[in-house]
Amino acid sequence: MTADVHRVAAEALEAITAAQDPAALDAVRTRYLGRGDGELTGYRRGLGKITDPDARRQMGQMVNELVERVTDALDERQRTIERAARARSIEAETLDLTRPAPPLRRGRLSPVTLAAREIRRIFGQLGFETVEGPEVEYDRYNFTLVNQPPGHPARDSQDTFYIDDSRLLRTHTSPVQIRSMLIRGAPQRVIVPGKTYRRDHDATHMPMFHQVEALCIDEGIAVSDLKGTLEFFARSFFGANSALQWRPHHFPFTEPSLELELACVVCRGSGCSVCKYSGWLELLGSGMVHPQVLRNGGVDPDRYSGFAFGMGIERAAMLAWGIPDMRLLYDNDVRFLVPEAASEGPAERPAP
Amino acid sequence: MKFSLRWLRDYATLDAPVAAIVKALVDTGTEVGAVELGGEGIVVARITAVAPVPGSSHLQFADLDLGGEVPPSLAAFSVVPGTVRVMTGAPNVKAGDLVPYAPPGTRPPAMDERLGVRTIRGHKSPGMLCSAIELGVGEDADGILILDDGTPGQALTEALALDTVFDLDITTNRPDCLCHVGIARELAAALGEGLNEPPSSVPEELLSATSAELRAHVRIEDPDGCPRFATRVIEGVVVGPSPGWLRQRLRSVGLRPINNVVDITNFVLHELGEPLHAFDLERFVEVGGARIADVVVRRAVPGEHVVDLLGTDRELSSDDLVVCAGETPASIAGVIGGSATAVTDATRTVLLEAASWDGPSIRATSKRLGLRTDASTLFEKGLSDRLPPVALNRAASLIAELSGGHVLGGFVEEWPRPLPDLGPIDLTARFTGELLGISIDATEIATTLAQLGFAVEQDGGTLTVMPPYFRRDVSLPEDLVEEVGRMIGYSRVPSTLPGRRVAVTTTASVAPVEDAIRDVCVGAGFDEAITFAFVATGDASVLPGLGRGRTPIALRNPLSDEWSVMRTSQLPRLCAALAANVNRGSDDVMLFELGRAFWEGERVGLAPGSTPDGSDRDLPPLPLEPLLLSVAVHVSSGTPEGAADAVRRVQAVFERVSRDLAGAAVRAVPSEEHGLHPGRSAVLRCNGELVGLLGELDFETAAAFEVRGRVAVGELRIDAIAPSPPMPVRYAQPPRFPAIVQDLAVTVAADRLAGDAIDAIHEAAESLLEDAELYDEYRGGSLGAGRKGWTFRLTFRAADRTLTGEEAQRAQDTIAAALARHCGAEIRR
Repeated sequence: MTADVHRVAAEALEAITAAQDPAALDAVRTRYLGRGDGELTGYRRGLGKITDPDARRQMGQMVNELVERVTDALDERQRTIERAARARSIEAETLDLTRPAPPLRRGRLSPVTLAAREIRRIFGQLGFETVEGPEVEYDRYNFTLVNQPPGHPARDSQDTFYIDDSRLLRTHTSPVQIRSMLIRGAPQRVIVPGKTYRRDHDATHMPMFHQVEALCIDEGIAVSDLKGTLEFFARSFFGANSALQWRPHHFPFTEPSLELELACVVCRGSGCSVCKYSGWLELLGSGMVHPQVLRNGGVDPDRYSGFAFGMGIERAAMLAWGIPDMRLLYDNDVRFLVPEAASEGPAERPAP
Repeated sequence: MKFSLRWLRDYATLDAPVAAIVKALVDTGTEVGAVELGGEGIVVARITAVAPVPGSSHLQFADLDLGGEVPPSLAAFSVVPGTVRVMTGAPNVKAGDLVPYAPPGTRPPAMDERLGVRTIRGHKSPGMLCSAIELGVGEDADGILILDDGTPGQALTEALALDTVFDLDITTNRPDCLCHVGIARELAAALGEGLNEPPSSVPEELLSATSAELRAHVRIEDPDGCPRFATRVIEGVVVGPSPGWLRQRLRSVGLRPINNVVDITNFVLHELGEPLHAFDLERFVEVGGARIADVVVRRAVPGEHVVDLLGTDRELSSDDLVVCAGETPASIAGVIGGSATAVTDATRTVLLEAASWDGPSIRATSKRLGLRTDASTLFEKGLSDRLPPVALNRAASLIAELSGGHVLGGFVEEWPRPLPDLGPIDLTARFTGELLGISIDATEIATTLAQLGFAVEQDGGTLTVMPPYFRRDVSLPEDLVEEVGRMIGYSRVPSTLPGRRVAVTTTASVAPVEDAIRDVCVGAGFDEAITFAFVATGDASVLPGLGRGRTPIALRNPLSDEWSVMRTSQLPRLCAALAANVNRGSDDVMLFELGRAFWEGERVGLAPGSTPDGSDRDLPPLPLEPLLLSVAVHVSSGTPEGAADAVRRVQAVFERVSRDLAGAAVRAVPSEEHGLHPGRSAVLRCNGELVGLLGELDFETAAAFEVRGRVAVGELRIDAIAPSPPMPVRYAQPPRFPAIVQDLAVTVAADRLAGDAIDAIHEAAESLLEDAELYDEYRGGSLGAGRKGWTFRLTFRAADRTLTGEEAQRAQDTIAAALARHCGAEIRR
């Protein structure tokens, strides 16, 4: 019987060596080590028939040793097979990471939206609340209440889309100044982005475009506050080192009125065709809100003063990101929406 | 408008360099469009030899020494080494003369175009030698200007003082700056110089004892249109050419000299900013049919005509103001004179007009006639009514002086509506300082204003300021502060931030909602489009979108038929933008637009911020401007499956947006919509209200937009789903007990709608049902035609304990029964 046990164990070890895959190895395990009826473990059942306690113990010991050996061999063989399988799959699963990744599909916002967001964010830091107003507006709000009475040259129907005698497409965001004053009174700080319309269409004018307007009303607001706020905005938007200059100007709804100019983003002030050799580009119009406009909004000009500014959002976007032609902003060409990283940009503003 | 520096120097010294003058203008608010430095590139040349041109009696060659070597650009014209050969017709040049030479590419100041190379009698001649008139320095047109000194090659601007011309943009509030005295006043104030204004009265020796009232009479029938009409009469005039200085002044600002009378009216217009008109008094009397010049100012009667100075017959309307001789219109007021009463070479007596006109009337007439003149441009802006006598005296004196006549005594005028004085204005140094944000004393303010012509009385820190008559734009203390600010310079004002008195904003605004929507769209791969808000009238009938049944707003003066009404839906233009991208070769384009549509007659109540007195109630209501999210997806593959996926993607974006904004999903209700595939379209409802639609374009509509492949579209009304103020959010503890997830498989008739089944499940379920998802739908196989299979994945969970399998099974049985009842479902085991 001892010889039989050793023979079976030798067979098992041979079968283990011969097994090439986990299934074959499982079969070997079941055949020899199956619980109760395995060819090797089966000898344990026969131990009871050995009457001599010493012989039984010896036999038991031997069977256990052989089972242990076969088990170890099985485990070792299994590790070997798994290692081989892993090696094969590693070889089969090679990933060529030099191949560019598939594009991550993400949409792009219009530069007009990006610029408007950034403008709102900058003014938001100074406590300006974003508000909106109707795009179809009364003539009265668009013109009369902001000091452009009937007969004023700015009301020319050459420039304004009219719907009827009293309604039009707003030509600027300024009527929202009146509406905001009537709603919020004083003090207030609002920033007003929105669509505006003028009857003008050529390479540099779109019949629909976007403006942003800000209004700050409080006791003791001065030209110095206007300067500080708009310089903070311009340097936040165009870069901390942007050269700026103020020039007196005239607008019907502000008194005094000032224009802010930015050193030409193309030539940096030395003069080129973009800035018409002046070195400067008009950026925005601004001024202290005219007392009559305050009154029209229900604000007492003897107690409060305020400043306002207005700017074309397209222009800001074009200057900041070097967009060469305003028409690109309205072509809706998805290829245009993907900005390129510029090694040396016209402005210091990072790409959106 | 053009200004000659030499002319400006008649009224102020202005010997600062041109750059300093430009800076002074810009810093005080006058925009400098262009500066023409007279004669740039023109050089001094010495004539080394002259020779006759063969076959010509008057042309000759001149060889020029330009100092140093011949520049390469002129080498081809060198005959004698070291010189350039040009041709000239002038008889007065000889060897050794120093002359001005304008090479090709330069422009002599009084010429309109740049010079090139001319070919005369087969000979090429580069540029030209210049006469005094061509250089704008004299009247002599017959010969070349021979220079007294200079060296060959020297810039002519150094050898000779040439004029500089500024092209200035004057802001609309400053018609007083539309003339040389006005700009000279600004410059004198900015540069701290004095101003020499031209004389404003007629010198004794030019006056006649006869009263002008014996020769003319003025009657204004429309005082609103003509608040003042003044005339002077000059007798014994001999019309002839103007003297050289006058011709030069006019040429320098681009005007053509005509004769001394007309030239003086043009000169005074550019000197003082008041347009004048000169009538031939005898012709005027003849036309009027009375004994003296019977001037009547009135509105025209429709059908009346005037033949203007250009010889054009102008038909008048009842809006036009006319100056009549008796009953006959003689000139179109403020715009252009008539030919029948115009000054001619035979004129002996001049009736000189200076008037105040209603600006809007003049602008309307000028626009209607398509005729903008220097006069109409000025009158449109609204001139002071104190200016006419000043200009009349100046012009009458000059006419009398230059034409040998004399000025009759007195004005003949009517002045029914004098403009009110705009002062005096009280101004304090404190107010000025507070508005500017600086500290400034009253004396500095007084000095600054006085330089600009304001009469200032100072009492300590308080000033009483009387604006000069020509400053109709100044009536408030704020206006004076602007004058002070621009003159002292805004660089003196520090930059500060406003004090933090405004509470941090509390009111909801639209923008964060829009940001959130755009973020969803961009995250889902959609690119943003911005299309024009005006569309063609037919667009809505191709693809009405959410604008179905809405009344569009028509523009009264559209730019074109393509852009004639305000959009009631964004989809037509968005699909057009999609098609354009596809046709440019982009694949699987996905676009969204977030913007407003315009629905007439839909707004309830007044627009926010309407005036509290209710005056807006008298106006037609403003349209509703619903905020729309519109999307369009192109399916390049053109397969039905691809298109179905695209519609699903649109739906997914809308559900995400709706859940984020309103906390509730939109519900799709199948609906046949115009322009959409009948089996693949639905309207969207939120809390019962119609808030959107989506589907696939039908083939005709896709073809109408000229787009290949298939297109999925959708439109969602953001203003209808986004609550105001925005929905608050909160975070909750994740579930603490495990869920039991079970599948429930049923079969139903093939036309059953999933939405109904999910509604039935939620209605039947008890609180244990956490989620019900239809995760598989299948047809065919053993089901047979007319049936389909659904598998729902049901998630059960109790908040306070671990659910038992029996509880979950009971809940599922209830659901299964409800499905059988409501949807005719058979349970598959």
